[in-house]
Amino acid sequence: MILPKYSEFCGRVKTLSGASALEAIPGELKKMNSKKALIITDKGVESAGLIKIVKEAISKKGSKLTVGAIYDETPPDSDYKVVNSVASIYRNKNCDSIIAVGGGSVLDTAKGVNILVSLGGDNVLAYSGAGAVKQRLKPLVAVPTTAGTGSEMTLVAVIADHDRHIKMTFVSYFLLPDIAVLDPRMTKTLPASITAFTGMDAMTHAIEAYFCLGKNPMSDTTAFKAIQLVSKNILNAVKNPGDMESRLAMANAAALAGIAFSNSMVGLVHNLGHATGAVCHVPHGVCMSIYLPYGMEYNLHKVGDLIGELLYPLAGPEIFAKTPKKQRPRATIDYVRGLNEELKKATGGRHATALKDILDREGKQMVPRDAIPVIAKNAMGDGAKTYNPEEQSFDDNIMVIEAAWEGKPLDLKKIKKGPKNQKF
Amino acid sequence: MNIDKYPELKPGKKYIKRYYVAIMLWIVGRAIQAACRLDKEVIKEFSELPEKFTFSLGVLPDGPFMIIGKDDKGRAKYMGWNKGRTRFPLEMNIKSLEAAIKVFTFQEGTATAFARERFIVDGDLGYALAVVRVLNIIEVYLLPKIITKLAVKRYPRWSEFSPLRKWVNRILIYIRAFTF
Amino acid sequence: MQKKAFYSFFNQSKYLAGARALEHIPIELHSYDAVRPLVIATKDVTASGFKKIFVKAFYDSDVTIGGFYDNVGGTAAISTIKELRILFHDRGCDSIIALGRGPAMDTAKGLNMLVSLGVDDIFTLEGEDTISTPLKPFFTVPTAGSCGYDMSNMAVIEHHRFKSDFLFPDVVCLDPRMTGIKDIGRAVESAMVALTHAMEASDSTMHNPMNDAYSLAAIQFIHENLPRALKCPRNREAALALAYANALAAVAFSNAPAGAAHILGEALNKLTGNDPGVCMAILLPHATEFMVGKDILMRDELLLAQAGMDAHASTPEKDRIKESENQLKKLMASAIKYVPANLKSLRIPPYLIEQAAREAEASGSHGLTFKDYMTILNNAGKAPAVR
Repeated sequence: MILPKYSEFCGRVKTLSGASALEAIPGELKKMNSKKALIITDKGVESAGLIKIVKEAISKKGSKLTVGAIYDETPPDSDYKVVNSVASIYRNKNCDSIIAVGGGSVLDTAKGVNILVSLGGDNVLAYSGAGAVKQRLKPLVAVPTTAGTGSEMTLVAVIADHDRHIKMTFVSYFLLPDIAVLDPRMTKTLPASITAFTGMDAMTHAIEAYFCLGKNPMSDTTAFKAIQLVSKNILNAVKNPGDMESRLAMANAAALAGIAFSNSMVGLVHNLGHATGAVCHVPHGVCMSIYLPYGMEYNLHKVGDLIGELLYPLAGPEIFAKTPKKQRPRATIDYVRGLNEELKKATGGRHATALKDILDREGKQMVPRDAIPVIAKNAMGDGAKTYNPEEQSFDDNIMVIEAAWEGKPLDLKKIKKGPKNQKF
Repeated sequence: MNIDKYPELKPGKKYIKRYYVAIMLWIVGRAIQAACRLDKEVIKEFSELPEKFTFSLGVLPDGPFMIIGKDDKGRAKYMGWNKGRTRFPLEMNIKSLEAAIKVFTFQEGTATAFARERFIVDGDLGYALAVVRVLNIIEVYLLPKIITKLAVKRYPRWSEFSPLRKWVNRILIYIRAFTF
Repeated sequence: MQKKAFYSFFNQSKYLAGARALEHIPIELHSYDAVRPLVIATKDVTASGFKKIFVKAFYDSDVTIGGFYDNVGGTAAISTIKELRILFHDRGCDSIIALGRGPAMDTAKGLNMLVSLGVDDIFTLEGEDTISTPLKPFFTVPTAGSCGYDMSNMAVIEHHRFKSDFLFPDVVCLDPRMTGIKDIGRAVESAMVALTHAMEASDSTMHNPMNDAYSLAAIQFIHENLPRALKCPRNREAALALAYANALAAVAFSNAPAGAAHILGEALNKLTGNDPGVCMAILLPHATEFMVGKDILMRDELLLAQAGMDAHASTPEKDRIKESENQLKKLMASAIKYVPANLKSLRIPPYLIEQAAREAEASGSHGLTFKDYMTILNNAGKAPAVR
């Protein structure tokens, strides 16, 4: 195992996992002296009937926990005004903990609300920046409803100021949820295509965590486990949506991948993925699954050995043993491409494998060819590139995005290569 | 127990290391100011930053720092080392003096230092990345290739960075950085 | 993975590991709004020069060390803790850093309960989950050789046991200047405790992917680095990796029920005074053998952690468990100078062995009976002296 010269690791979230994990929430909150919870969620989650399940689960016999209020109007882009107003609901109803049910934006909103109600004040923006929050906050329970983002394990909250068109980031270990609840009932109703790309999102977190610059021993083992779980379960979860075992395994994988990537950070795939999402409004997971093989190809000369090791959790020990060491990096990349193809088949073509094939609801192409330079430019301002093993210039970005647009493998000869064999 | 046996220990100072980092920050700051009048890439990076943009780069908890701002013409200006209690739109801080020594003796490149969590960035990350790109270019100018190669991910090739540009600008930056 | 079973997992600690980790402590304290830690250290710390390095790491920071108590002996004592409370309040401290070996950590945990919860007698908190509010920021800086509890969610003070998630250290700082091996025998003993904890946590029928990530990492670290440390105790990288393994194993242990080798090892330690690491090391191969025989699974993934991907993949599936046992025996054999191969060489009278088995049965694990424990002990007693 590689022990870097210096590394940090923190996975300070209590994980509850299982087919009836939701039922354990009251007990855990009781340990933290909480009696009345505010549920924060969005319309999509509410209309899928998930809030009903949560409410039933936490008011089972013997539970002393009551629900103070339910806020279900969280916008898809968390906004500071929403945060401020939800905080006043919390105060008016005398709540003493938050249960966030939903994806990234719900959790970001909940983190913002938690800052305000714990530390006081009317405007959450006063606490923005790195390390401005220096105290333990009130209990926060995260119930993810997609198995992919891993945001239940991250210490960052992004809250937008739509008047000034800026996104404020809040970074502190105290923003980590106290409890993450992984319950397969929350992901059971996800449509096949979303299961596919959120699963590949988790896979991308884990794979990038394994070879990017911030890797450390614990991010390695968590990433390794996550890749194993995704690889074994993703196709089954897509084909048999009701299979609770696969659903739970995927939720576990997403959480593990979340721990891995929030401690080791990520590289080119996320860098270009964020940019593509920002410019063309493509869902995050879709970009991830498309760019993933390119991210590996681009860094092949620096971290080829590590990429080769990934064949083990992806394809299993038999294939790993059969493949000669030299061919393993290539085999890993081919395996990921193959997995994407299979997912494409399993979702009836909805799981795109090239940028040009991404279609929106009306069947319109989402990433036009002339958006490539804009994406490449946008990517220059995204933090993930810092942790990519190889340098990324504007021209490099163009090259990679063009290949991903066409869906053709990268021409390895065209990559400008720094010194080989990355040291950590 | 006689509690006087276990006295309070006030933190001491490491003067030599502090001065070393202060001098390095001064040189880098002056060099950025000079490069922003010579190198087209640095000029471009700065032109894309917002008006009146200021940032600080330094060592926690209390310095030394380097403060760079944009002047009226949109060029970089070295604005000294004394940060006081002012807050800047972008603050890039190294967590400790020893970590700063690692960075400024080029044992850890900027990317490595970021990966090893030596830095705390407060402010817009996009601007921070522009600053990092500028710092990388400055390193190419100020230091011999053999050292810079250790500190950056990929040393620029001839096609990206012609030797003529490198040497002419290198000499000019050195002259301007050390003259007033 | 047992997908249907419910599990919960928690680890509070943040790890800082590697070059100049100590110098990062002030900024970590800062993130808790703490500026005056009380440092609690074991006696050996000053003599071996650790104190000087530690204090110097705070130079050029805004952290004042409220007091540096370097007089913790072989075990944590309540009288010391009560005296430290006076020191803590007198200097207006707001956080605690424990430096050195296990007793310092236990003392610090005891003090933290005392000063954070405002109780007069911490023994009223004995047992599990008796604390419901967070304690003051608590950092640890371990030196080589741990007792296995120091970085866990447990504290042992004068044979009283405390277990709560709030007892986890907030930050564990592993600096190669501190973790360097001074006494290889002690380092081997603590690696054996860690190995036992990690193996039994990943081996248990209650394993889960989160805990596996910790226990398998610890096992891999020990298998890779213990031989290196034995060959050259001054190898700083190997020593750091072993210290990291101790920390990770403590987490795995905190989140899993104790296994047979651990329980028996502790019982023997209490009855005979032999080092728990030595006892566990002797018992571990026999306990795992017994568990495999009983079909309380020894999992295939263990070999992956022990021997790496290539060895695991090239071993046929049916042979992996056997090979895993061989790997364990091989590791024990390499440390034979410090841990004997059988219980006989510890010269423990038979009545004490029986008593250990009885005590083990009383504490209960995997539903093993007195007879089962006796089988393990007898096998360990009979084993040939040379592996």
